[in-house]
Amino acid sequence: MALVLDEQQAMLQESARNFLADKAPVAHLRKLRDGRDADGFSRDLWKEFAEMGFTGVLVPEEHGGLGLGHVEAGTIMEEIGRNLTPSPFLSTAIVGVSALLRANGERKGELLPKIAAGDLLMALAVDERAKHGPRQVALSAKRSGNGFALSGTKTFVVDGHVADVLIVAARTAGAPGETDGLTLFLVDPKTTGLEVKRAVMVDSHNAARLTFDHVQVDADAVLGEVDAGWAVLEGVLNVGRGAVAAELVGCGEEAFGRTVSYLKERKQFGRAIGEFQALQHRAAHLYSEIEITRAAVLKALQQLDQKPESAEPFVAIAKARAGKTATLAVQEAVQMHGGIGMTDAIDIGLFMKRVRVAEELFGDANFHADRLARLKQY
Amino acid sequence: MSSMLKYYGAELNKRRHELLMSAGGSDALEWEGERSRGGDRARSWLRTKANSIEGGTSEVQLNIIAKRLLELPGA
Repeated sequence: MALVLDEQQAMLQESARNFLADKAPVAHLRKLRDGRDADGFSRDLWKEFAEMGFTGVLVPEEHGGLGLGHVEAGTIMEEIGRNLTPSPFLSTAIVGVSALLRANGERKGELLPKIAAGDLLMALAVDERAKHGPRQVALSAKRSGNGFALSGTKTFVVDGHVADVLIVAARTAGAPGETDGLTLFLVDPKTTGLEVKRAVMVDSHNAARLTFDHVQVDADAVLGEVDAGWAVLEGVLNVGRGAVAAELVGCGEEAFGRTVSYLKERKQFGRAIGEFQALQHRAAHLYSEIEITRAAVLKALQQLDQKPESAEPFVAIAKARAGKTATLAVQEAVQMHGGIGMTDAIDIGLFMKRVRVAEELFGDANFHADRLARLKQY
Repeated sequence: MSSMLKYYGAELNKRRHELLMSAGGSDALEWEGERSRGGDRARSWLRTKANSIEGGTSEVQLNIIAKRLLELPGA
């Protein structure tokens, strides 16, 4: 399969590019940040996402969506990255939908059309410590009444404070570190005993800390099978990782593009700073890194569409490379912009902040390099 | 010699804070809140990015080392 977008995918990318550049450029994030918006995103913009079909990009047509794949969703993520657009697109339209597609018939049929219509937000609660570690889930779910009682904490729950339904990874058996004994639950955030606290992050995007104190859920809240949630969780996380990698490509490429423009404009010592070969080589190196990463990310998204069962190593490569490349891109962007790059007057610093958070989300480059090494039995 | 120390010190401090951010994970990414002591770690990390710009950029220090110390040819 060629590592380029086909005609339909390229058209979707162009429409996402025009739409986001018009409706939600970086100034949109600044406005939400400076106004200390309680939601951290615009519900009006989310309605427009629904009208564009973005909210239902992965939702099958019979449930009111576009029924497209991860490559298509990735093109939207890339444009989100380019514009630093805060929205529940990742948590709801990608991660939430991917989880529901692996769920039982009833909830799926109920929730997917609502997501496609832009009427329902979701969030995935996995991590409990500062570093990503899905195997380390300790939050306990003990049988109680006709269901389960959940107790424990979650952190870095993207869009947790605005979600209508939470997907919670809990331990019904086994010990932290084991993949058996994990169960996924669909939880109403208003349930008694559940405290949701928004955390204001460095990139002005959303995340929450959750505390569960004997939160009672019915048996039908289980998504998939009891004790066998790992395969579903890994599948959903891989989809999320591929999507974040695509966002990182957008962030990195935009920061790079702005830097190359600056190298051509900014005069020092009587000439454009882009005339200095030391900077030319660094820019050329970065260009090469971005192109290779773009290909690695597209490959991972294609695998998720065509051979999801063997996508894991491709996703690990994509997320690791995307994190490293985007980090290099924003660091070079700040340094090459010099003093002005440090200020809030221009957007470059905002790209660095977003990349730092996206690099951490669903596992950083070290996590994914380790995963790949283990998969390949190095 | 002072150019080398300025260059190395600035770059080392940036790396040190990248490592601190990585070790701190999602906790270190909080900008406000008790657990992050008001975003202390993230704010320090961002501040270090100026180290290689202020007081002569790293590029200027490298030029000085190349031309004055190593006496390499060129403008």
